[in-house]
Amino acid sequence: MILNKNFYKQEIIEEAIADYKEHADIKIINQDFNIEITEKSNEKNIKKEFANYILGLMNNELHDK
Amino acid sequence: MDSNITFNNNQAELKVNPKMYPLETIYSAAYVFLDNAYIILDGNLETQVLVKIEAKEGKDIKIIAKEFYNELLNYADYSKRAEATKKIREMILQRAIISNDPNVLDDQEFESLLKDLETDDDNETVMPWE
Repeated sequence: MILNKNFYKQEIIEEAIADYKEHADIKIINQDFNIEITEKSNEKNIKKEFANYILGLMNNELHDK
Repeated sequence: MDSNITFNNNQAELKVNPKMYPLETIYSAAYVFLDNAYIILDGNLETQVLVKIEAKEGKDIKIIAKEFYNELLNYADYSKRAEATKKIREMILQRAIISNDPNVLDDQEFESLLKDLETDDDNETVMPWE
């Protein structure tokens, strides 16, 4: 999964990775925010849910300012 | 509007003009649909933002995609009104804080406020027993 740098911040992605550590092993592969996700369980759609989660954090961060 | 939306099975790609809808508005609109769809933002901040939406099971992508534009308008209007009323909201809050906590005022300011209140009492307050 690749997230566009214009819309997603590295620190927010890292925060989301930490929050998801029980559900999946997630790594930022390169500086283009290519993200590798290995599910720990058989939870459906974990990649897509992870992307949603980051978007939610981005929204919260923007409105907390 | 349909020319701004491309459908593919249960997915849709929406084109949004960032000059009309600031990024903050796009995030807010997207946030509303996170329970019903998977959303990824892509594209360019200056020219065209692409909102990639995939409907979750049992949800209608066509309805979600069209409602997304309504939600954009909703938040754009909200932001504009929030900006326009920002000063008055700040003043109301400031006033509420000051009237509840006299310690935040310096003595002179507090004395002056008290004097104003006393003057108001003298001149304007109608006593029900009078």
